[in-house]
Amino acid sequence: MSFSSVVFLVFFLPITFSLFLVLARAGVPGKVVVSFIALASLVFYAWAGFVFLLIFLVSIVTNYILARELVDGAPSRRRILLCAGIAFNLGLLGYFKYATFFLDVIGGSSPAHTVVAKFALPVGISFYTFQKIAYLVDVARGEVKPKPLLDYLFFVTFFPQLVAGPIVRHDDIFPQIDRIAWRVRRRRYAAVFLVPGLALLTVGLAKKVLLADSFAFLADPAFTAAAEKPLTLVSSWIGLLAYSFQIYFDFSGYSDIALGLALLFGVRLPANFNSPYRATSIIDFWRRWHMTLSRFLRDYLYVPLGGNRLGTSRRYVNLMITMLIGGLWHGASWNFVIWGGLHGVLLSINHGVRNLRLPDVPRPLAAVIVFLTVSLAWVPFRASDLHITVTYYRSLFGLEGIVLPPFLAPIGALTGLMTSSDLPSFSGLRGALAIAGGLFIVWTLPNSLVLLTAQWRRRLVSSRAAGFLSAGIIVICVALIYGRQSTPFIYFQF
Amino acid sequence: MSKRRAFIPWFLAGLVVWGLLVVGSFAALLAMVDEWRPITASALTDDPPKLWGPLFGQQYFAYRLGRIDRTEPEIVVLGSSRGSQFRAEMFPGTRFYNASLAATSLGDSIAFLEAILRARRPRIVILPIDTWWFSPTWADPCADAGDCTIPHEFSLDQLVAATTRSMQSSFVLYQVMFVLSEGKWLALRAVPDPIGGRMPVGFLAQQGADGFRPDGSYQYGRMALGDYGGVTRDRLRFTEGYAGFIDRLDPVAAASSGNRFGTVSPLPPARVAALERFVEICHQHDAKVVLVLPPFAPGFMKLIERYPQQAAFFSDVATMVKAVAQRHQVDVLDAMRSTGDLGDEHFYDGMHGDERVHLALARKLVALPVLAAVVDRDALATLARTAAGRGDAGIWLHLIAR
Repeated sequence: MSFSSVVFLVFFLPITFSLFLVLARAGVPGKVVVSFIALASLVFYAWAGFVFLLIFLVSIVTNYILARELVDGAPSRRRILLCAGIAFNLGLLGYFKYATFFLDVIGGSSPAHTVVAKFALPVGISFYTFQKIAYLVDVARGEVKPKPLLDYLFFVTFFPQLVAGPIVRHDDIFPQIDRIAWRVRRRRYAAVFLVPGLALLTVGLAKKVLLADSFAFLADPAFTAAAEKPLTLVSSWIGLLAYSFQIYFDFSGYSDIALGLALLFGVRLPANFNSPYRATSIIDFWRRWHMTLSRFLRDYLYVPLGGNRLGTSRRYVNLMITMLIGGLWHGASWNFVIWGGLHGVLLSINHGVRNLRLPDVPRPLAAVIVFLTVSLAWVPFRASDLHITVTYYRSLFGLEGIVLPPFLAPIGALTGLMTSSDLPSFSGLRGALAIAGGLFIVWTLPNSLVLLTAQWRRRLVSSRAAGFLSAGIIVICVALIYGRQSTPFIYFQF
Repeated sequence: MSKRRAFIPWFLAGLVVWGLLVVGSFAALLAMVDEWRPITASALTDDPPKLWGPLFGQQYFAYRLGRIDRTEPEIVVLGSSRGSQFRAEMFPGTRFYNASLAATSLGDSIAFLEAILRARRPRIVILPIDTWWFSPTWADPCADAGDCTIPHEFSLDQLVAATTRSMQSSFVLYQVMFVLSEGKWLALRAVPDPIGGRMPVGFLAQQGADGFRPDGSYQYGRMALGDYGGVTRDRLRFTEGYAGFIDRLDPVAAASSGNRFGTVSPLPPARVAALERFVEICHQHDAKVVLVLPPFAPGFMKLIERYPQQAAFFSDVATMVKAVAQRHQVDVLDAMRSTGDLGDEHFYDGMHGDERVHLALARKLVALPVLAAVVDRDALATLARTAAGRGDAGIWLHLIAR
């Protein structure tokens, strides 16, 4: 069930939230309230298919048992159990997500291909696999004691974060579980949770339906066309920059909705985005983009590999390994590996340059450079294969010839570049205006995290206009979704 | 109300107000243009004759079936808007119904054909074929999957979905805003359309005399009255070599989903098989079939020739259609590049020929043995002479029909 679907917004959410409020305010024990949310989350998940639910439940029970076993016994036994747990989780993920890819890498077609290809990818498996691995590791490290089944069930299934994150750790959720019902009963629930939650839900929905889906109209045709033949220079840049905005508004919109929904249910989730396109370096970008994935990769991969403790060259190797795996996590294709590798190289260069202690680049210029660099790296992420990736890069760098559309005729006259009336007359101009609008939003407007700050919360709570406007945006988004059959969130596929 | 906690009450009130506003405005709009109820019921009757031109609930399939049930035609035209100007007057001496636009793809055409053959048995089915029916970018899930579920009955759910979708279209918004700004609401409801004198049902019929006549053919009312509204000839810039089409033929746009001009070679086997299936179904029901490749404007075809991929694709489609016709021994009329002495000005937008183009086409069609046997050719010749006498000035054939 997608957050941007009519069934979720009109039926599931209002019904679940109303029942939750009634239960929580009726004074029933907190465990009952938590059980209700867990049950509703399982219904939410089962919407994608009962087979997926079955796989999910098997995974939950196995991890729960393993976690309980991890606290006792000799270190060697615990190490074996931890390895078994990680292997189980990665095995499940590998089977459903990567088996076909690895069989392709090995080469040829085989009966195994047929068997593997039969199974669809269980929804959210990439996210809940990391979450469960993190929990097992944290239990093994002694950072957290195994929790009761209900708490663990809630931790894993809580529907706002279930399908596409944020990837939560034990300390994000467990301390809050016993306080959910108490929070809802407090007078300050409306000011601290309900209003910011609704506001985030509104902002997220608007980002997805109004912005991301609109930028998709510019990005999709460009990448589809690149499969057939090279694009013109302007078309390829507009397509690429439109995709940069599409994926940002899509995923950050999703994250806003997730955070907002969690707040409605009295839970605070960790933020996932903090204006990443304002980053002034690639290191800074990864501190702002998909922050909970960055945190996971840092704490459970980069640091255990040795991080920066084993010398400069090992640091770069560890960075590359981390980013390559991070890339592969997004999808079973060489394109995602290349995307991860590109970011690994960029991060290594960034660290290297930083060590040279050169004078700082002015911040606005740095933000532009980082935005363009990150955008260029999106090409393999969006392109469906290597051929399209190469074709697209060639178009972007003018290797397929530089031809300008009519609206850029003055530039053509000044530079001597060819202007062709065979190019779309106004679509290039429309695209350029859309890109300018996207840049205005990401570079100048406050990001949605401000809604969680005390000052904005106070302003929101007392604002009639904000309440009325939020409702309007939600109603209009639902109407748009109903008519348009809104596309699913990009990160749902991962 | 205390301002301290104003957000929540105003949010709840907003949900109600905005919800009512959105739902209410849609409902009011539909009610005002007579599109809110099973329109087939009101539009099917001939007394008085109706011009059925809905903007939102364009449930052509159900409407067409209803009219075919009522008129029991001997000759039925299927296909897209490119066959919509065939009038009953062009096939004198027969019961004729133009069901174009009920099915705008091969798969839909098969589904519609099966539906009409179940209820009625037309003796002759004319199928104008569009090149894009064989384009990978033109969605045709029915042909590709061989499975179609097209509602035969009026569906409220479909109407609501279509209305919300329509309201997101800049074209529709322009239409609605234009009418609102002109204060035309309700004024035209009871007024017969200025072209054919029929009672308008639906937004387009009421506001622009656009809609389906009782014979099923489409009346481009505003264009017949000289109001292009910037949506066809002007936007496509046909006087400048159809420059407006270049946007669609550009590889970037052509490859995008929904574009008519995506090319592929060889033609998709599933689509070719669907055409063969269409012909076979007609044979199984003893209905004769005539395949038609309708004409494009000469200037438009010149533009197509500038794109080798497009030219090859158009040629592949024509060759394939003729091969299918030959295999199944059915008549075919390839008029794609042949418009005789009719020029660009006889096409609304390069792809849609006007009544004169269709009259010329009808004369070619009735020369085929299968139609020569049933159509009164002398009456058609008289009609053509009368029409020629009216020259190119504005409205002509619909006045004869009137």
